[in-house]
Amino acid sequence: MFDLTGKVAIVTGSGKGIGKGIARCLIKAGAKVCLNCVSNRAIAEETLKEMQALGGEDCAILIQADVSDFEQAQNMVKETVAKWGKLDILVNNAALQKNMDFDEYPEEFYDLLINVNLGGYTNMMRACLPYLKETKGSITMISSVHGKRPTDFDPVYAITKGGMHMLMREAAIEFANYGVRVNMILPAGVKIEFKSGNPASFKGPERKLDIDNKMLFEKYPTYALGRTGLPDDSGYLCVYLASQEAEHITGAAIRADGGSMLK
Amino acid sequence: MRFSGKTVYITEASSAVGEALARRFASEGANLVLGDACPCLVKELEEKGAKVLNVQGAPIHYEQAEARLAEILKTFPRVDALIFNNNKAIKTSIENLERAVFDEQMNYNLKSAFVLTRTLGEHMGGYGNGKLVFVSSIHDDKPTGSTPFYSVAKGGITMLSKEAALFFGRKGLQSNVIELGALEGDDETFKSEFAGQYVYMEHRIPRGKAGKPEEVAGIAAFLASEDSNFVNGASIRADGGFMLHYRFR
Repeated sequence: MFDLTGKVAIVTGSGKGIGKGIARCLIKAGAKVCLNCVSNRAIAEETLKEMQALGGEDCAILIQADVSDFEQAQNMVKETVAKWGKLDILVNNAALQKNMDFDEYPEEFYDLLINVNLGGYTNMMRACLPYLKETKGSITMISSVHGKRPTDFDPVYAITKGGMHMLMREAAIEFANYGVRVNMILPAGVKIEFKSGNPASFKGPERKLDIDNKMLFEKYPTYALGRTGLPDDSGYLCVYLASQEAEHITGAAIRADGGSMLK
Repeated sequence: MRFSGKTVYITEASSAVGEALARRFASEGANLVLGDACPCLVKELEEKGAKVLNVQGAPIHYEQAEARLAEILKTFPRVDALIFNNNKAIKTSIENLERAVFDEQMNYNLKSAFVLTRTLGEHMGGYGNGKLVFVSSIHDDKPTGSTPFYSVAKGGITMLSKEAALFFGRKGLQSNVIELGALEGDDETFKSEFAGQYVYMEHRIPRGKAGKPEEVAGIAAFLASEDSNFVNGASIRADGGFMLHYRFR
């Protein structure tokens, strides 16, 4: 079950974090994966080596590209298809979060989040669609429980996630005509690897989110199941959603949040 | 009258819904700031005794929103409510999207709401009270199959309202959404090759008739009044039951 042997995938924003967990799970299920990073190439190179150790030399490539630029998105897709001859799976994951309130948000950060979180997801879907039509492939978008529940720490992030919910549903109904499925995964807080609480590219005033090592496996009251998420929680769901067994699933938004939305 | 001495800013007062909103608030005694209203509407309302300031263009940058507030404060002492009514739906597919369509949909329907919420939220918060009302759409949840980036913007509006309900809620404001659906003419606006929602639209509304702009205005007036002081972060669906997916029998 849930075998992705022979499938080709692109996972955006997979140099680290949730995207890396997704790439790892897809490779474990047999897929070949194009990893993508925008800035932190050194960390992504490490991830590439890790993936190749896991699935063999030919299981992964790394392409640096800014998905908010359609031409770069398109070039990445073309390069992937040139390498492996087709494309079956797009996982839209590259997104930004700034953790600032209404009164602190610079306008250029508002524009940046719209351009990356919504524009980038749109660019990648459009760039991949011609190839996904041929394979009757699938698109999975990584969003957040904050597409439904406000954050109270980053209004623009929540706005983009609310918009993303509709982008997924519109894409699902439009692309159903081509047999291409579009679904969404909604994680809550996910323990990822950067130590500082924010990526190196973060330029705004730092407000570190309340996630650290100590909390990971302690009873943490936000999560009904007692822990924050891990990248692989979304990864396993991505494997299912991209598999043949999910052929009747489209337009779905599935929470992988440890029951945080129950609280 | 609920809005005597109060100033209500209605954006996109040029549309049928915008005009109905303007007439309703005027009838309840409000001073009006109208976005891009027809001069004929301004004249009509002034003849009935309303004080009206007609402003041009939708602010989409921070400094434009600040300038808009400054412009309003030359005529009226403060703003008491923002009725954000920008609703422009542009037909496109995602597959053949042009970037300019994405930008126009996102700026006019969503970013304008963000910049006005930010500026007017702070302004009203300084008085410890005020109302944010977003006249939005059932397409914050239901895909259209014809105007995808209208839906994306509306999905964003719902989250903007909820965030504002928290952040500006602590300053004494309330922020809510009206999800409009199945108004007269919507079967053409949202006609789709992919989605069947608007086919025989009126037969999908239990009462058999599409909504009228005047029916929206009463909900907005409620949400802008003190009658709704405990309503915050909510969405009121105003679609006659269209989203229940009723079939005519």
